[in-house]
Amino acid sequence: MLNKHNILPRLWALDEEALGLVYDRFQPKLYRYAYRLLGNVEMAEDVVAETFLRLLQALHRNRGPKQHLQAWLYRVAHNLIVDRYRRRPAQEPLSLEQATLRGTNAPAKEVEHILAQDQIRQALRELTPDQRQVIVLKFLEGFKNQEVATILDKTVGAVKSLQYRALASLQRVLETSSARSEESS
Amino acid sequence: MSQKSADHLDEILDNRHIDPGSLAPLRDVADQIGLLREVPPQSPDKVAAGRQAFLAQAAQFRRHKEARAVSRAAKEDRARWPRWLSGLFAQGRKKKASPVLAKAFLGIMILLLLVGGLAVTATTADAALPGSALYPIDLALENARLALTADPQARAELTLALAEERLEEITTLSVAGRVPPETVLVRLETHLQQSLDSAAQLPDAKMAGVLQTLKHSVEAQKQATAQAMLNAPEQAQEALNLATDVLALAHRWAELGLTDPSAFREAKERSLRPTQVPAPTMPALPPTALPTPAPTLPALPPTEGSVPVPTPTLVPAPTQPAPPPTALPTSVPTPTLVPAPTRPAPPPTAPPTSVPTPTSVPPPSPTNLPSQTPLPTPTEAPSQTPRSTPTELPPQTPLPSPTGVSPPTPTPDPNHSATTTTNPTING
Repeated sequence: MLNKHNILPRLWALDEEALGLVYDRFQPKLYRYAYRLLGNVEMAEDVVAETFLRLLQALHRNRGPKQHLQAWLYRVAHNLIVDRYRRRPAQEPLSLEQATLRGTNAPAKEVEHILAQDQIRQALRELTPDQRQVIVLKFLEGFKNQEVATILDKTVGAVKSLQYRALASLQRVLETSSARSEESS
Repeated sequence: MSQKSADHLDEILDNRHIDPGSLAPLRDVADQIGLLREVPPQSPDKVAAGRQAFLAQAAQFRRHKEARAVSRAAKEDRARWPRWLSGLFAQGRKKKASPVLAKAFLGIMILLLLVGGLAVTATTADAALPGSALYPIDLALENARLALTADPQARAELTLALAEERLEEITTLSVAGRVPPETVLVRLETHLQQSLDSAAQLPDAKMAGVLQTLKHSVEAQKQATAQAMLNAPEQAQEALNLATDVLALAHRWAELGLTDPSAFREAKERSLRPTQVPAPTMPALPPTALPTPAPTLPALPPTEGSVPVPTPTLVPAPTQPAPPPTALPTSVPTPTLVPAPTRPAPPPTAPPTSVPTPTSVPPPSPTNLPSQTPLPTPTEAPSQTPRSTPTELPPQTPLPSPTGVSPPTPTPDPNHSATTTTNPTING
């Protein structure tokens, strides 16, 4: 069983079994988290692999997680995602043709779904890292305010404020994006 | 935006039954974000490969961490002992509870300092030159080493090394303009003699190896001596000449041992007989009184067909003043001219009882020169050796030496107008 009270000491000792349990438990979550923000399988897998490598390096240098393993892992993954954002500048939203090509043989509704996903992903890139993390953790990963606060190392009230501002920003970005696409069409 | 609005939005998002009011657009945005929940499934193979890679990396880190822990532990151990030392003293000061331990520690430290001091002294003494305060320590240590070396081969090598050291002292002093003390020359001879004696005790193959080494060493020493002669002042030349002759003699002994081991052994056996063994501390004549070398090494066996010449081992002081060196015969044989013997000398033809006594010796005649001296035989008294009045005659000592040992190529001593030791192969 993965219990935070007994897993951390074993992790610090680089115990193989404990490391295996941690990997099995957090790899899928981190992959989903990375994919939702990046929208690319290879990049998401790359981020996950690097997150676990950072864990080993931190344990080796005595800088690993002392209490909140999950928060630590999400924080590292998020920083890696932000790095990817910086390396890959924001792209123009998918055109109808691109969405149709990506969802080959898909019905029109599916293509519309792809376009909507891309629009939201592009909008998320306009947020600050903290705002983006709050949105993804809360509305995609299903974390409670307290958990998000732990991951971000902030108070619950600060998380709620970030949530409010993030949604307001997203609304503005999405409205602008919709208006632009209407103009182009 | 106030904290109240943020809290209210949070309530709306958590509870769908709350009327969103003006916050409805934000709730709709939150709902739109849900579109990103869909994630393409990962390939199980990729997941398994990723897991395996992660655990392999972990194993690598683990090994490195273990190695680091061992290294750190070793470092801590090294760093711990000074604390232990200070702790020991602190304990002695504060509690005064373990004076025995502290005293024992101090005793060990003093012992270590003494041993260390002795080691330093020995090292320094090893490089000391004759005349320096540390030189007697050097000699004492050498004697101790010799006494502790019983193996003939090791002894042969050690004595050869000591001979090399003596020669180095002679050349160093000579080049520095100092006349090397006579005792150093005697020691050089003694060490070479000891090396040859030890070699003679070895089996043929080992003996050959030792003698070969000795030969090469002597050749190198001769070269060093020749070089020193070029740089040494005149007053030191005589000592270097003596050293050269001692080395030449040792070289010939080594050659004999290499060409005819049995003859070498036999000759060494004879030279080692108690009545003929020269005392290592025999007094040597001052170099200034010895224009020709007077090595104390046992003489080589005479050449085939030659008659062994019985000579006295003790030479009485001349009754008359010695003639000046100008009276020295021009045909003085040098050691290099003596051919190496090929077989041991035959035993004397006459028993020792026929040795002439001093009373039978005719009065010395200053006009008699060595070149005119007939070759004495063991059966006859050296009637024409006016200054040599032998009191003893070793039965098998072929050639005499004023210092008690026969040189291989006897030369007349200028202090004596004539000697009994002439080499027929050269003079005759």
